[in-house]
Amino acid sequence: MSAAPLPAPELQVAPFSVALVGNPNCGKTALFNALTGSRQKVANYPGVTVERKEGRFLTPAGRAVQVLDLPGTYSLRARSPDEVITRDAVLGRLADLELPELLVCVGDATNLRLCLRLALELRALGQPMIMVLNMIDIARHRGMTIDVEKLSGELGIPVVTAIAVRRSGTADLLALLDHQMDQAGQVDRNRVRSWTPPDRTDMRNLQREADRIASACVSLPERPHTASAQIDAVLLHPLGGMLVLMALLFVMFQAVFSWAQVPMDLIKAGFEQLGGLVDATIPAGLTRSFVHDGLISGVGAVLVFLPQILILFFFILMLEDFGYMARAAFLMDRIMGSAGLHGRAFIPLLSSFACAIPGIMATRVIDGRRDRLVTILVAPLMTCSARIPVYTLIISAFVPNRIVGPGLQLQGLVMFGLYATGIVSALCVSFVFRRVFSSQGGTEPFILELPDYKRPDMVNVLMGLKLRAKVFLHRAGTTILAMMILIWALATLPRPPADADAPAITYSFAAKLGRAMEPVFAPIGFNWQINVALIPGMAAREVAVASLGTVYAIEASEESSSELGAALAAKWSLATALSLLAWYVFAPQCASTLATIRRETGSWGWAGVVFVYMVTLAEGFSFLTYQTARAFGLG
Amino acid sequence: MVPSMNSPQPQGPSVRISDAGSKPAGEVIRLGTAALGFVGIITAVDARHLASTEARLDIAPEELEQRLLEMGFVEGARVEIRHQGPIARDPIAVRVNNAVIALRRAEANAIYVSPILETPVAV
Repeated sequence: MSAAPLPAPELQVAPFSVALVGNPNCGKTALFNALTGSRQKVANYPGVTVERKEGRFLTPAGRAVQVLDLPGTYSLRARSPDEVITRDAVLGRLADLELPELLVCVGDATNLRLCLRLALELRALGQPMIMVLNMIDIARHRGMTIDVEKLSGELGIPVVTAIAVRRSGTADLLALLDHQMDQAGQVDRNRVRSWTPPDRTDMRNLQREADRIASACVSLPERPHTASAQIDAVLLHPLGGMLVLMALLFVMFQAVFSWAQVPMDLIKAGFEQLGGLVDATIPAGLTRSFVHDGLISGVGAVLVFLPQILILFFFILMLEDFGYMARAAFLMDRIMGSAGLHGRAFIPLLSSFACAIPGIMATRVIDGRRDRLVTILVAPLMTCSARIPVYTLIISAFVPNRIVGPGLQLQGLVMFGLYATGIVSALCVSFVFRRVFSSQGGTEPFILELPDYKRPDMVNVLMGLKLRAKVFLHRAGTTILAMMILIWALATLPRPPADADAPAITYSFAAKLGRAMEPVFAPIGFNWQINVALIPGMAAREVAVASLGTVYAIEASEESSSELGAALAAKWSLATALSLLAWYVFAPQCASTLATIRRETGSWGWAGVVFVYMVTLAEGFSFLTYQTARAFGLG
Repeated sequence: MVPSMNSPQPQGPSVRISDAGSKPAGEVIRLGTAALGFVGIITAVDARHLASTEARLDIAPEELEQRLLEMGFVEGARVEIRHQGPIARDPIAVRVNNAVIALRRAEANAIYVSPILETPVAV
């Protein structure tokens, strides 16, 4: 250490801890993004898969603040696992999290009624607290006037306004935070500890008080805001709304195919160049084979699907930000109810189209235990983006690229059919599960706020996309890469004898393994190469594509793995291809999903149930498909 | 005014009409039975008498009542049925004061409302 004594920089003091609490849809996450920018990290709370979003920032006075973005809730009387986390964090009950030094109650300025009641509930804890009226620009635009000073007086806490989506929109809040840190009061821990949930009488009284404060401090415009009502007149129309929903889903899946084409071609070309570079620099042998066939072909075959995954998530994030997801749940509640699913299951199931893991995690918004369980059990049947690589490969190899109608590609249509099969089977399976469970009780209520529509905030959408890309790339760099190395080793070793006359792979471990599995998979038309690919495909579905690439690239070393589709078209019958598609609709080829189910349900039992029913369906449907196709002479 | 339903009149707290310029007119009915476009004031929130008349609910009546209160369905609040679902007119989207809440008709039957006459507002 140098001798010169320096004043201790503020950064070395433990950062001031702040927790954001608010109703769902109050723009809390936008505020969190505005405050922390990219200095945020997402982890899980211990033992549960509730996302723990934390970030840091410096106030104008240069003091460090650690901010925690808690799941949205209407009351501290928590019901769902998400809300339990919010309650426990606010009450300092989480093991590795100190009581926050300041509660920031975030409210949507255009819709203060429920938020004010939450603020009153929080105030009763006696912790240092401030309130932020977010989206004040929209409230003003609609002609609402809010007497902030009076509101602050009524609540007995400082109140500031904010516009989270604008650069300077948090200036007042930052200034207030600096001010609060100067006079951080003592928390009465006993008062916090002795908190009891409000009962029905308390709730009525709190809401009355909130309504009184709202009518004293907020004056509504003479002409009420109508934009959301006008949009809802179309989007919630019994017939028109359903048509829009169906059209939206259809456009979404067509976009996944057409928009992704160019970036996918670029990524593919990039990896081919890389492979060529390796061939030019590394002499032929085991090392070159490892780098080219193992690493580059393997990772490239998976990374190429990043554009499609991002496009799908882009739609989901945009619709969520727009406020449409709750409407979709509204439209779908009765339809899903006939299959034993709750309307709220629509959002988790829609997310499962991107990936079953966030989908299963999103079931935490469903309060009822049985409703949640049924949703978790069927979520893996929704066509996740990891199936896209497999579907794309086989469809592009076996289905002609023909236009069959205005804007209708045959390939896109087959894809749509596969998605539809997944949806229909999920509905059937949930119907069966619901029947099994129905001996013990009725249905959960469906009570859901339909938030005002708002223009999606691109910064938030892009930050959400960045997070998804990171998760995918992380997977590609770890699980998938490890699997690729394993499959390469299985397919390469042991080396063929010097006088070998068959392709090298026929001497490998992989071939032995694949042949050993033949008795089980021959009736559904799988050859030993497919069997080999299915083994690492247990780690993640899309790995099977890379594995097929590796297996066939090594088998015919002249062939570039990028022409995998052409190779498959030459080597497989149409019956085999269709059978593999059927297999992939149902097979539980994803270890992480099973692990997530275990974590969310708290037992391996339910993960086991999922595994068994999915394998049974996969084997059954593949058998049907293969034998039917053969009967039509396609074998 | 005499309630028309068979179940006993719920013992909710006293009714308080907060909407200036609107007054209760007509009988108290269950919100779940009201038609699209209905406008009224909540007179009571009480789920105790649902069991005999409605589809089985998975939660205790007290819990349903609490959840409705949490979403802002309290005595005195103004409600308006804005939309209904494509099948069996269910669920319904109800404007409660300034927010829109979706719920099923079965659950809405725990909310007792009295229709109000008010000067129509352009929508």
